[in-house]
Amino acid sequence: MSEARKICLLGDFAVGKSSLVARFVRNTFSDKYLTTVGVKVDSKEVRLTDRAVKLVVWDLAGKAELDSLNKTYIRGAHGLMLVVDGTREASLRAALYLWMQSQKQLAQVPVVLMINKLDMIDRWEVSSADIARLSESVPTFRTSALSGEGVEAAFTTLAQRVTERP
Amino acid sequence: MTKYQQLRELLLGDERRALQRQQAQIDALSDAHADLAQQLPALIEAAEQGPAKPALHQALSPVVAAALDDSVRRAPQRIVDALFPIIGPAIRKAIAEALRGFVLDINRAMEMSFTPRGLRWRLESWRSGVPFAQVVLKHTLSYRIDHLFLIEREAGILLYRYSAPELPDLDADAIAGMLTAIGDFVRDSVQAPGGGSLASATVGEHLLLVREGPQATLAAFVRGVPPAALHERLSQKLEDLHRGAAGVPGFDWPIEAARALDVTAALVVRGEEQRAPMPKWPWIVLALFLAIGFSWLIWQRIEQGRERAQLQSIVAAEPGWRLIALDRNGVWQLQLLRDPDARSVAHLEKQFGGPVEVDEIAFLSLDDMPIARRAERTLAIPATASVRVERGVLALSGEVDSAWAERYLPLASAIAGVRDVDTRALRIGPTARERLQALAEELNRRALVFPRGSADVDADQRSALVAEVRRLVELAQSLDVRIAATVTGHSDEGGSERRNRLLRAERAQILHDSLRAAGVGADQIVIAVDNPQALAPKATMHWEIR
Repeated sequence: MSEARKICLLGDFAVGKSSLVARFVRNTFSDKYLTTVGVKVDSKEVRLTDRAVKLVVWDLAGKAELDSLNKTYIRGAHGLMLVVDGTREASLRAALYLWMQSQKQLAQVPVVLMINKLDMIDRWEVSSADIARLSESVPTFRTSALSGEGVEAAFTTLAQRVTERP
Repeated sequence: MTKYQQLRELLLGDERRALQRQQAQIDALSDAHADLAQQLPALIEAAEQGPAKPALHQALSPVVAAALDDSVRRAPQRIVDALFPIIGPAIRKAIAEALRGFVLDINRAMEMSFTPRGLRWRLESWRSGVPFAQVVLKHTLSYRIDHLFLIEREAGILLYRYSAPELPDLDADAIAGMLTAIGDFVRDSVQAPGGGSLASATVGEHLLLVREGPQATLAAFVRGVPPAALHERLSQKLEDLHRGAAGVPGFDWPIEAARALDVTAALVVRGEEQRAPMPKWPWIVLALFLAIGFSWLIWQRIEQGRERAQLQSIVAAEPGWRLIALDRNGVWQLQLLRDPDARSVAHLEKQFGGPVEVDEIAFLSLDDMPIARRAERTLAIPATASVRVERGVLALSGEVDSAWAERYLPLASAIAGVRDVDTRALRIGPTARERLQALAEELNRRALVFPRGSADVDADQRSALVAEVRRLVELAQSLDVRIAATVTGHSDEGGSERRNRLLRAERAQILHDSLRAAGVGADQIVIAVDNPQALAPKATMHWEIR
């Protein structure tokens, strides 16, 4: 059994988290859990150069801030994946706020930022300058759940980083 | 400065400054001690976060233990009061768990009491002598753990997993995560005081049992109806794991869990597999046997009814028989009244065509046939006569001699069952001896007639004589009477003496031979002494009855 790591997807509503997960993992549970329980868990084994790691992906229902239940859900996470809708700049601020909130709950865990909806780049509000500035402090990927571009790379990077930690 | 002050300064200045320094140190120390009470919590907290944490634990552990021990000795009530909010719920929880299991078992037993399955178990209990409750428990404890997950409590990461071998693969990591999330969701939704949690749920044919520990959660998907003991067993295994993990840095949960829970799974699975559904063919065979048996019974009943009617009919039709009782005990058994003059019961078995056991009781029947048989036996009816009985009237017919009539006719009306005697068709003749005598006399008057001077006799004449003599012989034999004949040959008038003598001898010999031909013995015939005086062309005989 390969090593398992818990990854939480955080982001504002409708930024495409579930679509990204669907693109990356096999779906075991229905999306209805997102609206009922507030989270949906899937898993995917990622093969790195020297080992395999199983990412257990917790897709949290999109919210602009973490409530008490979400704080419970992110407990023990080994990594975070912040998802932003490139067409909505507000979603970037929400993601950063969620990240900041999670810092109180989690120690310094690896984070990856996904600027989603690359297929609608002509309508992006998030500027390239902001992305470049963010890239200096956190690995940032331009992704498209529709085409799958950048998705694999983002998850693989996060997998690499979470396995480097004890 | 006065001189006094200058002098004092010269003499005591150094000492005074040293004294002031010491005083300042004392004051500073006092101030420091005064702040220690306020700083101590922060100091301990800082030590807890820093590298001195193990040393702090080591230093405080004996002090805390001794203080606790001393406190329990000196003021036990305070400890009781302090633990009361914890002990109460703990005890209540333990009792509730035990009662829940007990009530489940009782409910199960009650539910099983009045169902077909329950009745079958009652029969098993009655047959085996085992109490019904034990039989119910034996059957209802059939269950199996399909999946067993040990999940890290906080992160929901799967630490160990057991799944029954034949089950399809599933995403155990995702399930472990979702179980954790749902558990958190339930806890957050209910917000039960004392930290309630999801303990069990029913999922299709599975019962989900969840046991939470401080660091790990044990979740079991159970198929069937597990006993309350399984809940305790899972809790115990989880506690054992936590006990093993306590104070052991780098406790390897997956390995230790595999060691502990594999045993649990094996114990649970072994010997408690769901029983395979019973195949249908034994029921079909049983139903077939029952149908055949039932048909056979019906056929037996019909056949017995037919045989009973047949026996009753045979007995009813037979004169001189009366049926008292008829029963079947492997073979038909009859109790029968039978007139000794009626037909034997052997006739019954022959006519029925099967074995019967007959218990006969003798009686006198008034049926015509036994009366007739009785009359034949009692009256010694001769072959020349016959009897017939109709409605009690004895009719005699045929021929009897006078001696019989004289002896038996008076008895006829005294025969049991005879109401009247009809002799109108009965002819009463002489006795046999009288007829013998008459016949002998008739023959004495007969003779064989020859032509003159000849010993030749007409064949017809001779045959007729032989026939007559044969009747005499037969009648004598039937009466057991000895008869004897003297034969005499006669000669004609004229002729020489020699010729006449020869002729007499020849004629006597021809008659002798004729009698022999009629069956008369040689010792019964005597040829008379030659008598030349008897002149006639014939040969005569004289019969004597002795």
